[in-house]
Amino acid sequence: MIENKDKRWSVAGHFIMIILSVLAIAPFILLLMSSITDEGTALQNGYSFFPQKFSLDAYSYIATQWGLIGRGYLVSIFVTIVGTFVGVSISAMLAYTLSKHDLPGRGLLMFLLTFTMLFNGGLTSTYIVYTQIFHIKDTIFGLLLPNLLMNAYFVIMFKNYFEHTLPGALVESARIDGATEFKIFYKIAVPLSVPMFVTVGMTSALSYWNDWTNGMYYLSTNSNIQSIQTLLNNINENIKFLQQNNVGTTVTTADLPSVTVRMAIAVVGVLPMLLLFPLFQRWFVNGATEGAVKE
Amino acid sequence: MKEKKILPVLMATILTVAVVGCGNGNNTNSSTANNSNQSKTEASETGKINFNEEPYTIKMNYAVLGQEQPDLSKIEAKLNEVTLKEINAKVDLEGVSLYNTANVYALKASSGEKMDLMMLMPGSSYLSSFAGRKMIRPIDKEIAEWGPALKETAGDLLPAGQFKGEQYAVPQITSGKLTFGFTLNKNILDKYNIDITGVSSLDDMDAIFEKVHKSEPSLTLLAPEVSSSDMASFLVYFDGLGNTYGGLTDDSGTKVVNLFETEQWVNTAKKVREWYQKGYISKDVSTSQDDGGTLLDNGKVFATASGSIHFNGGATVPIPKRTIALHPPVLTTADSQLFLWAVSSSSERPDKAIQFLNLLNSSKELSTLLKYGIEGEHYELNKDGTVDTSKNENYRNDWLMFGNYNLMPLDSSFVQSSGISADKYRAREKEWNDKTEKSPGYGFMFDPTPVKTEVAALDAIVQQYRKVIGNGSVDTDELLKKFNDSLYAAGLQKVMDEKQRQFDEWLATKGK
Repeated sequence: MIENKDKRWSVAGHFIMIILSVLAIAPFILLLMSSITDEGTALQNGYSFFPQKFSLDAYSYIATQWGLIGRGYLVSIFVTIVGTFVGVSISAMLAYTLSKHDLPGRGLLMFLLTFTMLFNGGLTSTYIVYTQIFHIKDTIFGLLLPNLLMNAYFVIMFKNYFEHTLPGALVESARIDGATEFKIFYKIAVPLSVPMFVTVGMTSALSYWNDWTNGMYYLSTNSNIQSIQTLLNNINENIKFLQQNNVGTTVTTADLPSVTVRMAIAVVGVLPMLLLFPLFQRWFVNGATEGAVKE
Repeated sequence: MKEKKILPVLMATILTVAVVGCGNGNNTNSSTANNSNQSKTEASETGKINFNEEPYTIKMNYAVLGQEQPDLSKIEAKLNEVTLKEINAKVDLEGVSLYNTANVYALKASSGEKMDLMMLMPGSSYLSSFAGRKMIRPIDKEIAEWGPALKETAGDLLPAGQFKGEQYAVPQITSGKLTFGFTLNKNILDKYNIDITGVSSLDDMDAIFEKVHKSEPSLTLLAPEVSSSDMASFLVYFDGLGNTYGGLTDDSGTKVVNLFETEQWVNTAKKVREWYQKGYISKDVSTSQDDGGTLLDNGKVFATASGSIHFNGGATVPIPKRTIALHPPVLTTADSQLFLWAVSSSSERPDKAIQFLNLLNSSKELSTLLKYGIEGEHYELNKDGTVDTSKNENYRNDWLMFGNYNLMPLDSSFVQSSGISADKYRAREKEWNDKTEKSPGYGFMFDPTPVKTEVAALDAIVQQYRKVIGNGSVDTDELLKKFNDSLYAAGLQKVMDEKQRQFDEWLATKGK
């Protein structure tokens, strides 16, 4: 009897999860399908899961524009890799340091960390500091530094992990063997916290990859280091603006990519993350809950 | 024990230093550059440019659609050659993505970033708010002193750049004013031998639509040219004086009336409804995101209710089209405000900015340079004096936003698509411009600040009703009454009264 009930539960559970998964995947499939729909068909019938006429024109257009899109791609990849690496390193080292309870001034550092996590100066003052003190405008730092480089939330996740999951005895024994603090960090703390590193790295890489706001504020439109997301967002927002504002018919949308091309750029844009995510997913689930429970 | 404490501290400090240091690395070059321009010398003599001072760099911001311009620096170099000689200044061009201009300008202004000239597009949306927030400055004095050519070339447009009686911006001289009516697929007209000469009213269209519908019942006959607007709004003349709530129609004189109660609008909406019920209009016209213009070019509709009727009677590419104008062209304030050049409040040398605008508007060389690029590199000059830009990839701008349209050569793709020669094009354009009248409200701009809340409420109501009624997809009689009732309930009368008051005041000062 009980077994039966369990079975029913699991059938119902599976059923619900399948529906939810389909709902989550469907937009992606629609995106993919509309990117390979013939432009005329898309105009006439709208987007469809089963377009009447297929066409790879959108992708060949991207190929012709590879100078622009390909460079955007490279910029995105560079920024994601460098940003994630530097960001995770800083976060982990800071967190490791903060996990030492005998650190002088630890309270102050923790306060600074949490305070800036909860409050910030707003866009204008941030912009002033970055452009007039650090002069990152129109440089690659404009994509790397603002908002994304170090996230206090990640530091706290790391810190909790180091405090509660890292066996104190291990650190102690290493110290007895004469290891320096830095050696303990990278020989013991880092290898033991791989799930955490993957989790934070993945999240950080995602936010670097998907970011377009930094490009919008810290790069001029003629800059040659626009990331792929900045380019895509730019195209979409301008089309929306032209549709919503009657800026006169002297303005044509002819120069802007067509519907199917926008879809194709979006597909190209999500592809790397789509491929990368399953590879690290195993660690991801582990890491997200790790450090959450105290022993 | 002591040793144990030092290392973590060291690590923490190193990290902090490293983060700060990262940013500091590339800060040296620009801070020095900023200071060099601060040598401020007042112009010594009226109308005479001081060549003894250090050349000032004018920062010029304008809207672009975001494509990169690899050759922008070449254009700048060429431009600076001339400007250094003529007005002792350099120009630094920077495009801002169109959708984001308001944010970027505000950010630059509040952060004190260098900014001299900025283009507002569409100026009608930004002029009053930017001037009200003191982001841009009055330039009457500078124009009087440094803008003789501006007064000559753009003199009759200048009222469109005024706000509360002060000149805040210089309207761009652009191509002729467009009017409204229908754009039709010429192939279909020819196929059924339809003659459109003499067609000048909505009722005249009935016969044409009926004929085409009978032969091709599955073809959608009519769509709004852009999906954000509705057909009735395209087909009625109305000068809203800054927004939709109260304005001037053909026979209202200087009395502000409610568009949605005027005979013209009501009748047009009813006519469109009739066409909708006869099946001429697509059922999802009000929800569709596709512009009628695109559909027309793809042969998906027979005609569009259009606001881009021109003197040439219809283009030839990508498909041959004919147009029917329902109204003679009338220039309103908003038309001249599409591109406005304003001077930032933070500009150190507004006089230089105006000197440059003055130079640009009077120079064929510079107008052509900024619009088309460098001859031989970005365009070829055709025999008939038009410009062929088809081979150019490295410098292009999307709009007629630079220089004086009347001085620069025509783009051959425009002339070719009209199917007439370049000379004829110019002649017809001139005739059209001479025919173009100015609305009695030309130069007046409604300041909505006193009735801000009402306007916001009205916006929401208009969004709810206007499109469905204007496209005929709902019952006109029933909903129109409901629409107007809700408008009045949300304070339409108050907004109209305020507009009338401001307008009367403006008329009085103008009459003086």
